[in-house]
Amino acid sequence: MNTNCDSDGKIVDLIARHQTRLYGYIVSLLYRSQDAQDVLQETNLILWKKRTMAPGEKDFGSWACTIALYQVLTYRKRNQRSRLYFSEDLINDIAAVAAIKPGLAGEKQQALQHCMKKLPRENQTLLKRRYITQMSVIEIADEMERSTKAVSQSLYRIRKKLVDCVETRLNFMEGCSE
Amino acid sequence: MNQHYQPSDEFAELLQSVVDGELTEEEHRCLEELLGSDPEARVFFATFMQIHATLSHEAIGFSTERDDSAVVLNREAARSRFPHGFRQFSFWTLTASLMAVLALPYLIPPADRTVADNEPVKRNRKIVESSQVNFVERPPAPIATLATHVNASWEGAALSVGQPLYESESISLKQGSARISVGFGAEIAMEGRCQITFLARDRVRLDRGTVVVDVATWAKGFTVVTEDMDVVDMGTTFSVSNAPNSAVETKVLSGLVRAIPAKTRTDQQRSVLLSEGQGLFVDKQGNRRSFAQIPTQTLTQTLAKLDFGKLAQYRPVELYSTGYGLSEGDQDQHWRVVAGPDGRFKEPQYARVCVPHFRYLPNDPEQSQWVSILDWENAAPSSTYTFQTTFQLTGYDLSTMRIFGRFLADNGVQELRVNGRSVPIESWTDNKIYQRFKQSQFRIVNITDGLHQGENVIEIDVWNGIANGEYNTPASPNHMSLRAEWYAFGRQSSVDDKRDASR
Repeated sequence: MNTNCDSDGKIVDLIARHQTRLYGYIVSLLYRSQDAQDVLQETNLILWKKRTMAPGEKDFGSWACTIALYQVLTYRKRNQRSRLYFSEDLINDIAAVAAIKPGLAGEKQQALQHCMKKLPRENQTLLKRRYITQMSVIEIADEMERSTKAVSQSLYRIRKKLVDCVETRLNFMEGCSE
Repeated sequence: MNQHYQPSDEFAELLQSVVDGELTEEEHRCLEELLGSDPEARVFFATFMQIHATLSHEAIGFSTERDDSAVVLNREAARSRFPHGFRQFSFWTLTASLMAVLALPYLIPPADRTVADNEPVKRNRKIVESSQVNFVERPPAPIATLATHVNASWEGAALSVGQPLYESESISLKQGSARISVGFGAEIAMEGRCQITFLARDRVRLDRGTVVVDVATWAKGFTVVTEDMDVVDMGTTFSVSNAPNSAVETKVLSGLVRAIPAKTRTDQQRSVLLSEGQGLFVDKQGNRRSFAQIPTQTLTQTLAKLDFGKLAQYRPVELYSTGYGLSEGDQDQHWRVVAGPDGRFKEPQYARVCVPHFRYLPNDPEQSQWVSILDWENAAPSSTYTFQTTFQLTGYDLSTMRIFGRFLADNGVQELRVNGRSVPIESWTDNKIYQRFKQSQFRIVNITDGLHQGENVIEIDVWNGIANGEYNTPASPNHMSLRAEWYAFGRQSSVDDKRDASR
């Protein structure tokens, strides 16, 4: 048992700082945001219950991902009658490349922040509509008098740019499960 | 490392569907196959989804850089638009949220989707009694039950006696006969090949076949809709027949109905009043033909055979939805807030109809509205407020009661009590960042026990969570509100016709 986290405050700090990355990890396995929110909540509870077993800061993300993966698989099993989910094998395969690389929990956000700044203004405006004001693609299309397909494609291209940019800056995809 | 992975057009379209819409079953299978066979695609998918999730979860990158004027958020404006806080959540808020979650594990149960259902209403479905958030629209309410059947054979799954039937649900009888009790106060007799759809508590659609409807005196206005004619009860027993590609006819067995053909020639009146023994036939061209008077003996024999008096009709319980028929700012005389956190809640008060926060489902005075304490935007965080309403069950046969509540609450319901007795529900909390309270957040609670003759008291403990947002701390006051809708009915052991219906 690793007891590097020697206080509840420290573990809360670590869990809090890993929320976005954990959420992203879970979304990549379940792809529906509502499901991911539910699993994140369940994962947080397990992380808390197992806090005495938590590793130090460097490996905390990997450990949290392992617990989140277990919660994803449990959640899938519990709900697979009512919804479509990836197969267990595929979830494990994606998990292997999606989990948080040791010591790099915050690096991805920094890379993304950097890449966002490099986007043209109109791209940022479109992302803002989608993510800040939480408009649906249909609502954006109505407002911009464009087709929903055109808006969806534009958003896709912007996200693709970000993926390329982030990966160029940071090899954050490797080795969480190592 | 695959910095320049280029997804195929098909993969790109699937990704768009994943993040901007909903995957169809076929698309899901395509995506699964594609990801299963291509390791590089998996890496790209994971990164793509993580970036989408990060943008969704935080306002990362939407900074206040000097040259980003087009996307710089005016934070003051953002605050006013997002009273729960700007989209970017701070470490402190996250920490506080987490502490709240961890401190109250039993108040925030993990969502159980065993009854997940975005599909149309199905028969034999389990009633959602707790924290399910699975409906795109309001979860449908049960508005009728199967009372009896004889040698009935159904399309699809068989129906059982007592089974609730929901808004928008269709039932299709292949053979035999069945009796449906509608909570509004109508008994529907079906025989032979017949299909009906429950449109609302006071309205059914006859898709095909023949029904005979007996409507209670308190349920005037109950309507049978067909493609070619609507038949509105005015205190009566009547039949409606709908034959595909033919015509619709209605016959009045007792009382009075108003028949409204869908097509009306300019030289005809819009609706026709029909009295006992009369009938109306409307063909697809809108041509009408009145029946001659049906012999009294025939009417008597038909009514005797149907024996509608055998089973007392359902009668709605006078149980008020929050804010029903009121204006925003009004006090709701049927709802009180009777308890709150020590030191912050001074005395019981009538609930007031709120002007809804923009994240709330808009008010609908004809159905329900948000109600709360006077200073509802500054309710104490991490606190419980108790809402109370009362209703009478005098004269009802308690064994027949059907009481369903449909609730929205900012941020959730901890407990519901009937006459001081806890109703077994799973508490729920809707307290995510930028939480919206929309149709899909409605939960249905089924109340079956703890009722008694005379006055009954329902108490609902609404949990107010912490405000999410970087401008908030766990101690920040925030919005707290409840919205409740009732579907309540039962058979009466004694009848009091002057009492009003539930609303």
